[in-house]
Amino acid sequence: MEKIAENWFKYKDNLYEALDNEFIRIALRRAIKAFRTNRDKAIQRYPEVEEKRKKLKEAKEYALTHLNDMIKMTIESFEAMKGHAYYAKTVNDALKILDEIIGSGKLIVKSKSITSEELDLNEHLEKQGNTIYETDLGEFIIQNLGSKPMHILSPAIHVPKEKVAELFSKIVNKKLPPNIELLVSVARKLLREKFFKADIGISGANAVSANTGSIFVIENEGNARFVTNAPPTYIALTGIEKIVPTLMDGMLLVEVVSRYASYYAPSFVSIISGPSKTGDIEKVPVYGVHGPKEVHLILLDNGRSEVAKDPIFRQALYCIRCGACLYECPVYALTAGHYGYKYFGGIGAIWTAFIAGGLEKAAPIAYTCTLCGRCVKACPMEIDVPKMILKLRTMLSRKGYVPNYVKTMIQNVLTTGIPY
Amino acid sequence: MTILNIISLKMEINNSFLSFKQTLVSNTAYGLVKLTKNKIGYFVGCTIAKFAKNIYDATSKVFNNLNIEFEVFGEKQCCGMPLIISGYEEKMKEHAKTVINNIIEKKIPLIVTSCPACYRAFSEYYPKILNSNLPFKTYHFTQFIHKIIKEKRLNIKKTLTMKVTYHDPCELGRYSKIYEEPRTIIKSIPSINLVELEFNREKSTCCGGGGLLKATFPQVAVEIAKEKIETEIIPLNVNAIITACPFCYLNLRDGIREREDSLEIYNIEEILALAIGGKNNGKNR
Repeated sequence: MEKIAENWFKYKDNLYEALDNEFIRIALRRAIKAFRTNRDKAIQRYPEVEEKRKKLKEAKEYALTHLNDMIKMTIESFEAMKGHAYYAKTVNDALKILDEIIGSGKLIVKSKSITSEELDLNEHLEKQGNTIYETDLGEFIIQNLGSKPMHILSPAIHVPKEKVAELFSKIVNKKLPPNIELLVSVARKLLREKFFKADIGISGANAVSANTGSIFVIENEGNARFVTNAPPTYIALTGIEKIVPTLMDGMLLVEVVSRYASYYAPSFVSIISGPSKTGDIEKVPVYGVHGPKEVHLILLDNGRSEVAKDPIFRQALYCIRCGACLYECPVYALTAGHYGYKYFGGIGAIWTAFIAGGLEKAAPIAYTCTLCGRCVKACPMEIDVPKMILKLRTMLSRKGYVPNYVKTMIQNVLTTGIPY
Repeated sequence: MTILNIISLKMEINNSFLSFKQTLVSNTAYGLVKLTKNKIGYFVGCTIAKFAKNIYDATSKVFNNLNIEFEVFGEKQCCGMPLIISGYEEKMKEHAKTVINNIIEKKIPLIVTSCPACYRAFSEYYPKILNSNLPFKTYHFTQFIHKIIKEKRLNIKKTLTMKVTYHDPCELGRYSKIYEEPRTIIKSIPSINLVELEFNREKSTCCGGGGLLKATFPQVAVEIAKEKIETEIIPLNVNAIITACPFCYLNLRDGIREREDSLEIYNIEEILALAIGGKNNGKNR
């Protein structure tokens, strides 16, 4: 009980601290405004996205209600293309697979993967004696700040340019002005050599198509292209909920997620189905040409298949990570990633409860949602977050994860008739 | 055998109101004129009764002006929505029976409430949880007055020269889809200038007062109100915000107070009470 309260108050302190953080307030205000304008423009320019998101929802629904078949099909398809595919039931299973592939003393370049946060992957790999470079600019900033990501798409959304300049100055040992273009070029120069020196590249995936075993990686910076292509070994780590039935469903997802994430189109989409190969000399197949020689796909369960069995909570797995809900959330606008644990916002409470964190961590997050329902309207998959939050709160109340003052309020209703 | 006994007996037999065919007043057979000839019920709800009596005072003024006799319910009887939103839905059934039986006992054919949460309890949760329609009709105050306006029974004496905006409460708007009624009421007041927020109706942004947040993390709730005021309301340059929910009213009011704005806030009953005149026009806070 004491631990529950302790966790609750720690969360509350963080949340309240965020309220007073001017950086978060200003950065989020700007980001929300820009996001809304750009998303509306993107949806107006491609109005057919409305039809496409419905089709995508059907595809996701099918995949999530046929998960075992989907996993099996994905693994078969991927291995038919000479890739190595694995199903990892737990975080430990996934780490074991990764350790076997990676070992120690390796240089690793990584592009953004929230799934890897579930594994605390960077810490683990460093402990094994590896060196890791996050290559998404936002993640790179976060990694060097020793901070945690604050948004699924823009992890460093709360860090202003002055702070980035200060940080990069320390890295390159030279005083840099808070000039954004200059700061970007510093990161480019620094990371470019790492891409080619790296032994291993690790990325997440936006989708994996079961019928072809293809990994979809969507990005704007171009870092994921290097991560997935330059090192001799490439590993994709992704949740099983990312599986869609067909390659065309994956394409559908690319369109929908980009528009709802406020882009006309992503700058780059990599579709990877196995190692690079050639048969150009005497038709003899050789693996490992310019791209990776070895490609591994790790499909992480970590509670997802249980979530998929529940018709209400299953919706949490429909999430395509466009981030639209976060930009429309009144709490997130003031507290950013402090409203959440590894996954953020109201939907983050569900992910925290069953996938990354547990009920204890999820409790205060679940009781932070105002149930306003604005996220439902913003979501291309129409995920009913308030409905899931209510069900989660019921679960939490039964298991005793409810704060005392809420318990008192309920007791009052039941005894005196009114809560106050 | 009293009506209450009959109902509880029937409920015991079938655990449902469905068997209780002989409802007190058919919901469709009578117009509002007829319904309001009888005494109606005003479910004030615990939040208004405890923290926003001004809304209750304004409502009684409006009802008196309309010569509507009413009996107050819910002063010491919560509608039960806190049970639902805090994760104790299983306790709602018993609670709902108590609330409903009190009303049925008084043979009240119509319940009006100013609270969107109470409105949802009556219109959405009670029928669902008890698996039956209720033997009386429930209106949110804005729906009720909207009907009165349509029957041309609302007599507004005053002009209110002010620029106002309307905040759609989440539970009244997105959850209950009541968007136009409050706007019609505001526009029925001569000289009032209603301007819309950038995000209105189903896109309305939350004031922060919902979902228990004001109980669990109160400072977050009031900061949300302040942010809404700063980014959406101040740019409109209005004299007042009007809303139709005690939670929104209280939270936005707290936001205004912390910001020390000169902005006024009215729940819709209050602006209506001001417009129909009569004594004690000042805000009662």
